[in-house]
Formats: sequence, C-alpha cells, structure tokens
Amino acid sequence: MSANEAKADPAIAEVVRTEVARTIQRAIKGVQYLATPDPAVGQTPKDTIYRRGTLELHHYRPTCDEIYRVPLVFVMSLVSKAFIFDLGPGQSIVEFLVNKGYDVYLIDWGVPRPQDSHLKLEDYVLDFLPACAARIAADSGESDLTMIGYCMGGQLALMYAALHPGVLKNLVCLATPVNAEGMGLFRTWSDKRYFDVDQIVDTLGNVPAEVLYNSFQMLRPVQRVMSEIRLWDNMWNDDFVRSYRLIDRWGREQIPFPGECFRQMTKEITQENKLYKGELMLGGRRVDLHSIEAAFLAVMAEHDHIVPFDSAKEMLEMISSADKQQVVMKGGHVSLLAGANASGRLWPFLDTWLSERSV
Amino acid sequence: MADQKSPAVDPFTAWRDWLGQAERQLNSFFNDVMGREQYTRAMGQFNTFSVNMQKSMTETMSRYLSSLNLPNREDFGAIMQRLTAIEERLGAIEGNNGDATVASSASHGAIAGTLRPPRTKKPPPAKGKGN
Repeated sequence: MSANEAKADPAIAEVVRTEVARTIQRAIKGVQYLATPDPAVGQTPKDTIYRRGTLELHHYRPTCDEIYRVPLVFVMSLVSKAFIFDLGPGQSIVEFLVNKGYDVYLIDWGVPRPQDSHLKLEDYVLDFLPACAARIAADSGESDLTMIGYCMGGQLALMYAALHPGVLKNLVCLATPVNAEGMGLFRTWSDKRYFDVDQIVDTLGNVPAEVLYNSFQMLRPVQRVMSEIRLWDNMWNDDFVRSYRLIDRWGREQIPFPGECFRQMTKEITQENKLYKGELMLGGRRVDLHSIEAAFLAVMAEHDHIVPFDSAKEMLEMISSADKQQVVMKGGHVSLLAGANASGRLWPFLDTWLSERSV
Repeated sequence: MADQKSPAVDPFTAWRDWLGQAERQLNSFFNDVMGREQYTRAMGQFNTFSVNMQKSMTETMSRYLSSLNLPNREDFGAIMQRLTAIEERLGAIEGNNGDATVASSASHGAIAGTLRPPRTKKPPPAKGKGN
C-alpha cells in the first residue's frame, strides 16, 4: 500500500505546485491579454506593385544573396483575408519561403465593396489573375511562374491554369476542393430546394461577412467555446497565446463575398458540381482540368472539416501533368498552412518540392 | 521514476483529455443534427425570412431618407462607382508608367526601386533519397 502512495505523493504535489503557479500566471497574463491589442500581421517587408479596385499585388523583398529563377505567387480565397500567408514573424509561410531564397508575390483580393457585387468568376480567372501574372512577369523578368492557391484560391488557380495552358510552370493547391459531392455539410446546406441563393444575392448584393462566419462556425458548433477554454488553460504560455491570437484574428476578420461570384460558386460549383464534371464555362470557354500540364502538387489536411479529403481525392486523375503528386498531412484547414505544425510539416515539404522545380 | 508523472494522478491532464473528447462528441452530435433535411429546410426558411426582413427594412429606410432629402445607400453606391472608375483610370495610368519604367531599366525589379539578387539559386543537394 504505502510503496505506491509514497511514489504518488511527490507527483501529486508537483502537479498541484505547477497548477498553482500557472493559475497565478493565467491571472496576470489574462489581464495583459485583455489590455493589449491584437498582434500585428503581415509584417514581412513588401512592396505593392499593382493595384486594381481592392486588389493588391505584393512583392516581398528578397533576403538572400541569390534567389530561385522562377517567381511564385500566392492566390488567396475570396472568403478570408490574405494575411493567413503572413501572420507574423516565425508564423509566416511567406517569410519562410523568402528566407529560403524564393521570389515571392501575393495576390490580396482585399475587402469587396458594395459596388464589387457584380464581380464574377470570369473577372477573377480571365482578367485579374492574367493581369497579375503579366505584372509579375514584367517585374521579375521571368515568363515562368509558380502559382500556389489556398482553399478557394486553389480553385481559382486551377481554373486559371486550365484556361491558360502553358503559362504556369508549377501549380500547388492547398486544401482545395474540386468535387462538391465531398463537401459534407456545405453541400447539404446549399440544397437548391431550400437555399435560395438568388434571393440572397438579389437582396443583399455581397454576402455579408457574418453569414459566412456563422456558416464556418456551424461546421464545428462547440469549437469556439472549447478554444476559449483552451486559451484560458494555456494563458501562461506566451507562444500559445501569440499563435492563438494571430489565428483567431484571422478567423474573426471574415470578409463579405462578392454577390455574383457567390451565386456562381453556389449554383455551378456546389450544386451542379460543374468544375468536377468538366462542364464549367467561363467567358465561353470550358474549364477542363485535363488541360493542366504544369508540375502539380495538391496538399490536403487529414482533419480538414471545411474541405474534407473526399472533395479532393480524385484531383490527380483530373490533371494531365506528368509530374503530379498529392499528399495528406496531419492538421486541419488552417493548421495545415499556418502555425507551429505547418512550420514543421508543410513548409519544409513545400520548400523541397519547389526548390527542384524553381530553377 | 519518482519524477515521471502518471496520468492517473494528474486530474488536470484527465480534464484536458475529457475536454477534447467532449468537443469531438458534441461536434459530431450537432453535425448529425445539422446534416438532416429538416434542419436544411428550417435554415432555408430562416434565411428567406431574414432576407425579406432586411429587404423591407431597406425599402422603408430608403423612403424615410428620401423624405428627409438625404442620400440613401444607392446614392452612395453611385458615387462609389464613379470613384472606382477614377481609381481604375489612375491604375491604368500607373500601369503605363510602370511598363515604361520596366522598359527603360537595365534590370528587372526596378519598379519597386530595389535591385534584386541574381536568379541563380540552386536547390540544396538531396539528403539520402530524392523527392
């Protein structure tokens, strides 16, 4: 009896001591948390080389003595702000790649204004993306380009690559869905019998940020409460709190979705699954993913509740590239790209994949 | 070892484990409920109701502002559209200037006013096995 208890006592005492110390730290740092503003984001030095409406094309200043020949550009989704690519020092995939010797550009769509509600997929795929690619070619002096799209940004990149064969040298899709059948609750909720997208767009113009935010929250209804409990539990840990605040800020700063584009995405991509079926028409041309021949990489997250693996598992079969690869990494929709997990998994993997294809 | 923590004696670890499990179970439960057709139908009805509410409020407010001789959202929208057109023209002028800068500069990257390092970087030698 006493042998086990004698061993357990110091362990319990240590646990209690640690928890008391952490409770004191939580109280002190909790006050600091409430008293300080959100951490700054997007701090990697950059120049804005092109503006059009709310669109901004940024170029990040190189930090290495020599850089890879092929420039790369990040394409953000229309759903969220682009600073997920550049959260903060040590938490930024942009900063990581710049320091590895890549010439990095980023397309930031900005926050759509009411007068942007007419923007359609054609505007993004046939106008804005080609304009940005041309500007990058002029700025870098290189005709080759690597495009990296995240989430819906990956869908835009796929459409662009399919309609502009031969323009991209490399195409990377991160957490990008192609088959709406695998989109789980989003697909269920957009059932055309009950979801009247025409009424929403005709009445509201752009889809309000709150509607999108609530839709994402509904996918994991208790996540918000639980993450705040975890924040309190880890309030003593400065690294955890900093990372939490950066990602939480990104999640909270939802942006409206351009109305006409939302109508197209809902009807043609989600309800009718035209991108997957090869029936999507943009500007009178069919978006055929088989015409993509650029070196291709698709990375999915194992626990992605927004873009489940089922929505992307057939992507490789749809692409004609001779050099193509799909990997599934641990993590969720956001932790795939940003945060401590991403810095140890996706970023070094991407560096290895890109380095051989950027010369 | 005496300093090795046993999960059995650490109630805080047990609480954290429980928290993770509870989150998964609750999310799974709510997802099941929200995946049902009745839920989708109810959500659609709520959306229709709230959008109609918003529409009638907008119309009422528009009439009210008009009676006070004040601009409404559409009036501001029209001004914003004109501003956008001006911005686009400015952008086009800037673009033309940028092209001229590129054409006249000896090295690319001069648009931002900085010279770029040479594009000669090679991938590091593979460690052990190839990709």
